[in-house]
Amino acid sequence: MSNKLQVKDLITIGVFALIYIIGMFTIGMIGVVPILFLIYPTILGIFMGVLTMLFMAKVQKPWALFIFGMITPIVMVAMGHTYVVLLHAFVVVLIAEMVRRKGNYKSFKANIYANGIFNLWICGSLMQMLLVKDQYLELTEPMMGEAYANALERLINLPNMGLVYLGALIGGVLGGYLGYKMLNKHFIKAGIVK
Amino acid sequence: MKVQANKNSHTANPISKFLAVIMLGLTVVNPIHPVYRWIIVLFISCLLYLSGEKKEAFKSVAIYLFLFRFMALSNLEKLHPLIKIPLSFLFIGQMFYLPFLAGKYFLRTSDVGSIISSMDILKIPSSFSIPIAVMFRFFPSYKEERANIKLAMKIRGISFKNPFKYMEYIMVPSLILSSNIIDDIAKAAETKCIAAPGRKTRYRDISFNCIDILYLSLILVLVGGSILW
Repeated sequence: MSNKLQVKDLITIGVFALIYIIGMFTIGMIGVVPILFLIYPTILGIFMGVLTMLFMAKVQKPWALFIFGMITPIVMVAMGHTYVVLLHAFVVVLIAEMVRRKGNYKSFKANIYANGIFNLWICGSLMQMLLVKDQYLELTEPMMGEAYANALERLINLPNMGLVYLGALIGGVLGGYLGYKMLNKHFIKAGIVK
Repeated sequence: MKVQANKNSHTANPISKFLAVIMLGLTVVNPIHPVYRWIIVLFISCLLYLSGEKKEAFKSVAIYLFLFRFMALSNLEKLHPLIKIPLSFLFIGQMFYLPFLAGKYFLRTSDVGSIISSMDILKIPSSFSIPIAVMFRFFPSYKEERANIKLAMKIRGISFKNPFKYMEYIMVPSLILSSNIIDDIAKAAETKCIAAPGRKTRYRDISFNCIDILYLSLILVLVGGSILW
């Protein structure tokens, strides 16, 4: 079988990307409670693991994960996020693709790790908040007071972002593992993957 | 026979719309003068109105007016922190409003045909353009399937009380259904020679007209000018 992406693989990418986007926005509803925004990447990784693992099991070819992973940031940019999301995702998804390559696209272990790294892309949307923080503080300080600005300063800073990244990585690996279990439990039985 | 990209020529083409979103994304990091912001909001609202999205046009102006008035308020300092936190989200809303509005204009007023034709013009490789086209094509059938799954869950009495179980019961059937739909779409696409090399004939033609030039140059002058000077 050819190792190049066929039309069917591209269609698989499109359909899975759409379900990913819908799931992402559904889970994104938790962002209404602001503090939960910081654990959103972890939760996303856990819930979406089954989707990405099934996707990786279905399309075991080079660049499939990369294309799949770049579509969502493109859609987010089209909806008004900044270019930061796109650049950040490019780097992260490329690394995930490399990890998958190490496992020759078939190894479940490599796919689970790739899923963990892939899940980091969503941190880009929080990174852009870090980028605009000064301007945000400038806007809010006269109105919200110094205490608020200080609290925010303590909450959104680089070390805390490190924790968000760590959470995203753990969520992604956990999701990948759960996804692997689900593959065995449902999808192989249903004949969706071999 | 080719059809003009849009029945009325009052809509910019998808390329300009996308470029506009990217350019307005710069205003999040490099803020521009409030008057310029108002000019852009009003202009995009006019474009929405001209494209037939009349309700959205008025809504966009009304929301921005609300955000703008809100920014002018002071002495919120004494409010309880629990009220302050949701209010602070309005600031984020205000910062991202311009690219968000342009994004709304892009997604609401572009049809699939013209988006695919635009990707052709930009020579975007088919490994990117096919998935994006499929996403638009697949969306309506997915909505239908999702409603069916939800109904089935309701009949069996499965609720959101246990989110993990719920997710499993929603995700597994929707992924299996989607996998079947993927097979169907792939067969249909192959039958229609999607992989055939060479130039394809598109129903919709993309052209640059007055509105594109006006839209892009307005944003370029206001955003570019503010950043440079």
